[in-house]
Amino acid sequence: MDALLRMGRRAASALLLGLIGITVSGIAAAQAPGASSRLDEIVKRDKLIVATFSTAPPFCYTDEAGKLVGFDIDIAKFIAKSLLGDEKKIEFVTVTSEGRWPAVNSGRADIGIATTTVYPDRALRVAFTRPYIDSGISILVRDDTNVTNLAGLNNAKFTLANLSNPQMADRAKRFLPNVKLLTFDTPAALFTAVKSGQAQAMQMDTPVVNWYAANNKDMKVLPENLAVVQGNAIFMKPGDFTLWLWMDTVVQEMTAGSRYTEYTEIYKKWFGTNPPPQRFYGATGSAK
Amino acid sequence: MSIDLSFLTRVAPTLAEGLSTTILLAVPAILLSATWGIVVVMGLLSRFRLVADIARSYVEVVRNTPVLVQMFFIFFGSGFAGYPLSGFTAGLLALVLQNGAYMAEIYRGGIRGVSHRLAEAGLALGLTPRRSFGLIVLPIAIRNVIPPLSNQGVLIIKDTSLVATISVAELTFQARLLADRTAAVFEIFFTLALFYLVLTAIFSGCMRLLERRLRLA
Repeated sequence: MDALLRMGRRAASALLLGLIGITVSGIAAAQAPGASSRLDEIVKRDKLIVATFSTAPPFCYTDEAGKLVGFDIDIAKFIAKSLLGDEKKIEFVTVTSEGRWPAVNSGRADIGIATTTVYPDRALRVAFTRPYIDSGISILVRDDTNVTNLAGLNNAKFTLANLSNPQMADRAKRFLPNVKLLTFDTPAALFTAVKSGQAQAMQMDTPVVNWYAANNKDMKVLPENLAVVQGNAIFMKPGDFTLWLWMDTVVQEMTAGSRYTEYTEIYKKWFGTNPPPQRFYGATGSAK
Repeated sequence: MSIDLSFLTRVAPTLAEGLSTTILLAVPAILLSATWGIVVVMGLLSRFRLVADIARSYVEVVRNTPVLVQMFFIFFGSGFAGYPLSGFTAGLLALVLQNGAYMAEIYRGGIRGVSHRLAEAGLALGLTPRRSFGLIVLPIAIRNVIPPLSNQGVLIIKDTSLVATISVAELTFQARLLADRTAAVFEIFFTLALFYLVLTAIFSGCMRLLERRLRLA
């Protein structure tokens, strides 16, 4: 009993020390008012540091040569070029799904571009620009399930692979209440689950799902879109208005302004189609 | 960085849900590893060369590959083979296979640590080799292995967090979901660390009591 008590006391004092450490660093962080914008720091450093994924084709993934490629990677390079004049002045930090937030909030990276959807609860902790792409959510199924639509998949004998974010779980509950769920932390693991037969289907951003279906003959995409609008945006540590405004302006100029041509080139390179029209009232839709 | 403490009380119930799965996984993992270790150490110390060699190769293979890789291999591999195991089963199996090998090495060290002379003294008193081992070597060896076994148990408790990657909704898994939804990564992982700290403290406290109980006066 005595030994237990002593251990308890020791654990408590260790814990207290840790808490004091955190509090002190919190105060230190709060006492830095009027600090210059991170944007100046980036320009002075002459390099943009971007947090991204390495396993989410075709947005941000590692190709067979081990190089980071994808739509998000090209967008990041375009931003580096706009900011510093050279798309090579960039450093990528690869992160996990939940590791994206501390990557920017700790200052490890300047911004994050990682197929990241804007949700209000996320916006409490990081600052989002306006979306640079509306990705949609689709379902990839194995051909051997003989399923052709969402209703057919909604069966207790099937298992759906989800990414480890709660929005996926909510969506599965709404559209496919009968299926069993498995949850993994990377899109590549979702795909491995479907490929290995641990799951029969997976839900993911539409371009990702299309990419997997195009590269695997034994799989197909269901016709339904599970998300009406799925806006992916650039995120950063909140509170730095100068940096946020610059990033938001670049996104605006890419999707509906002076850089629409460059944006269209990147979009077509990865998705094979034109992006949504620059002007919503445009009759023909998009850039020719 | 500042910590929002009220947030912690809000996420605690979800984490507690994961905690029950962690305990349900850790307890059988520790007990089965300890048992499987006995089987393996019997192989290691076998008089039959072939048995000893097989046991030795097994220990080297599982001890020298990461348990995470073994989990992936068992989980996805069983799917490819057409007999998909659940994440829980695959995770438990990987933990037991790996830690059983470590336990066997701990037992072996404990037995080897008992002086030859004691066993020989037993023989001189007219005991059979088997009884000399059972009555003299083993009781001392058991006392010797309690501290390293307790250490290994703590490692198993912490390693259960790896099954989050193969879709088992344990403590770390719940924490990652919460962190992904709220982006409050520091608060959540801080709480997560506390949960593990309490879990391992209880476990090592029990092991210490056991050690004390077995200590020779």
